[in-house]
Amino acid sequence: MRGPISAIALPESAGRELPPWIADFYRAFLTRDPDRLAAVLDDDVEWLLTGPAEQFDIYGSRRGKQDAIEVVTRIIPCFFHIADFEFEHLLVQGETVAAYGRLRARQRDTGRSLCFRSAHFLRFRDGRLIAFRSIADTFDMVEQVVGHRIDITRRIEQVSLVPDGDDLLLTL
Amino acid sequence: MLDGCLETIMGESVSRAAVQAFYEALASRNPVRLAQCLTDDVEWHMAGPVDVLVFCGYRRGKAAVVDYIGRLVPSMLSVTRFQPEEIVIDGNTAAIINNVTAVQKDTGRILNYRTAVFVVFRDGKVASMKGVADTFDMAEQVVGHRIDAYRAPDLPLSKDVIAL
Repeated sequence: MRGPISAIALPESAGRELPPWIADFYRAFLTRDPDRLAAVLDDDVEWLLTGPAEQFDIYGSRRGKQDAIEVVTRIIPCFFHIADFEFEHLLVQGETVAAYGRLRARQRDTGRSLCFRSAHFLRFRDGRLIAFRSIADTFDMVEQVVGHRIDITRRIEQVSLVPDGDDLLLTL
Repeated sequence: MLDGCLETIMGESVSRAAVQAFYEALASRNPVRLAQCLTDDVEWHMAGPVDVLVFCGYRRGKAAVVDYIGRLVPSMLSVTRFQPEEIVIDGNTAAIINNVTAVQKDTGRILNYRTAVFVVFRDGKVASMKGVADTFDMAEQVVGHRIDAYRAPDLPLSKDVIAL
């Protein structure tokens, strides 16, 4: 199935009906509505956004409904507001869903428009999301968020919080 | 191991066996087997920074895709593990998370990464592939150090700054 998808409605798929829980999840995700999210997430949901978690808090692994809701409603909006997910593929096999498309967002601090490719793999049980995994073109996404090209020669510098020669460590 | 690619059912839905056959051909890097699995006008797109990760980018046509999979990638990487972690099939399309381990030939560094690929079949053959990966992590593994995303380059980057 191809085609744009709005923040509040899934398009009709050709010749078949999609399970309602897919639309329920994406509505909740895109609108960042904590009540809607609470209704579609399993209490023990596994939430994984692969990416440079050390430099961007949105990435990494979370477990449980409250942590997943916090990522969607508080942490992601610190960086950008997701406006839309334009689906190019949406596959459904039983209670497993795979989606590929472009995530469009607006950066909170600068107002810049962001757009990057992303794949979602979702598992549902009894209509609730039990696992969400996102794999995205993070190099492109990071360049758009920081607003300049990434210089791959720039190393992360390790900064010690203890001054050289500090005897404190020796006494501990 | 299955040889070649199996026909899809009614030309509409792709079978798990056909997906598996394509996957094994892909893992083999064998040009003949690969060619059997691709349509003449196949489109192949791996999203990512082509100036850092040369295996990213867009290819079109069987010859270009076979050359990419069978020659270009093996010239840089020696793949030691290529396993499907998850496969979702719906109609004529398959979505696969690949778990890959490879040795970077220039440096001997071991790379571990996952790719998510969406493969569309037409008459039993692959007509298109769109893939995505955690490319920031891949770039860090290729250059061998953590990359500071927040520090802008001192000078405009030249296109000659190539890792591979």
